[in-house]
Amino acid sequence: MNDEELRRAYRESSRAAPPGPHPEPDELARIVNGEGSETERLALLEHAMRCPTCGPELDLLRAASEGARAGHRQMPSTRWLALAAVAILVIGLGALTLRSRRIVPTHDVMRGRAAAMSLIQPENGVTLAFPIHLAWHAVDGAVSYRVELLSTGGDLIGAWTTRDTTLAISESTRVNGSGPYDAWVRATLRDRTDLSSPIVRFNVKR
Amino acid sequence: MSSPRDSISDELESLVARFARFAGRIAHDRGLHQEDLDELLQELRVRFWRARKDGLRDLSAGYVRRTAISAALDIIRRRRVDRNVSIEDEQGGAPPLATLAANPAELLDQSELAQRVALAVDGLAPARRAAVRMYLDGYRREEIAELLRWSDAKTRNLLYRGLADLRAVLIAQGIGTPENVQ
Repeated sequence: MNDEELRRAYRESSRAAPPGPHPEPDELARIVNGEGSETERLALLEHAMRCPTCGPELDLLRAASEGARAGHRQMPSTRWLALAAVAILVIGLGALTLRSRRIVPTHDVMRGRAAAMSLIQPENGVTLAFPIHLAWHAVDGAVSYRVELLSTGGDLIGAWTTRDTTLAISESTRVNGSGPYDAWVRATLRDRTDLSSPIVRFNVKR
Repeated sequence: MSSPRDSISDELESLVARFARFAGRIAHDRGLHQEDLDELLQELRVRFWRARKDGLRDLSAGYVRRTAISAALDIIRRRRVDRNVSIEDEQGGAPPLATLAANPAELLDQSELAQRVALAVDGLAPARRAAVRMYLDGYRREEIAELLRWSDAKTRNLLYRGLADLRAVLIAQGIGTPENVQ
């Protein structure tokens, strides 16, 4: 059996809470916080992975922990806002200049419809070289797509708006380093609402 | 020209939006309900507002993390109180929806295979079992390493050995062929 077959079979096995009491919520938080011994963590995870109640609770705590990375960028104090506004203006002008130089993808990518917004490429964890080609599923009713490139700390590095479902990001003053990046795509629909893809993380090598 | 209140509001909304991006990744991967994430974001919005109202100027990374975990814990505690279901009541739930579409013979085969795989996983050594269980449940290798505070090499080693053990047990039961055993 390959990994996928094993996964399918494992997921189809009926889940029931293991014998014994559920861990307290604080104990689940200890897993996420990296506290306790390895033996303790293994025992807690053994329960959480099998338990239909504690599993989703652990997921919620993990989502909270992951989301908290957003706090790594300090909130700007008021006196820096003016400087930030100037910086944004300069970056905006730079973006307009770079936009005219953007590379159009040279190959066709097969794309299908998907109920939710999702990226076709790049896949999570891949390593890429410039230009970085992004492709996503078309969304019914979308009038435009906004691609955002983020640092792994959540800072916006660049954003591009297109009506196509592909985009190539070339090496530029904003995107010139090797290392990990995050990217996501937001579809703006006719009714002005947005539909977002999950964030994908990939590495860039020069 | 925006008022100071508006600028604070924008800052907080920006923080919550960044939070949603990161948290959304896990929520999506793990199939967490959108309403769970929305509830968490709403809790955070309120707590961040209170903190700013109480004069806390900079919401540091440490503060954001403590607040987020604490908000998630409060949601979990509230739900446990609301649910108030005993462990015995939860046992022996309905079969997964995926199996309901199959015909009775396939259902029996799938169900038996699923139970044999689950039993074989139960029989693995604890560290290998944890790695395999998480992997089969859809966790990425780096997520397993992070939750267990293992190095990448240790995670890879335990996972691959665990999967090999699992396949060996299944092959001994006549399930699968030896080519996948490493």
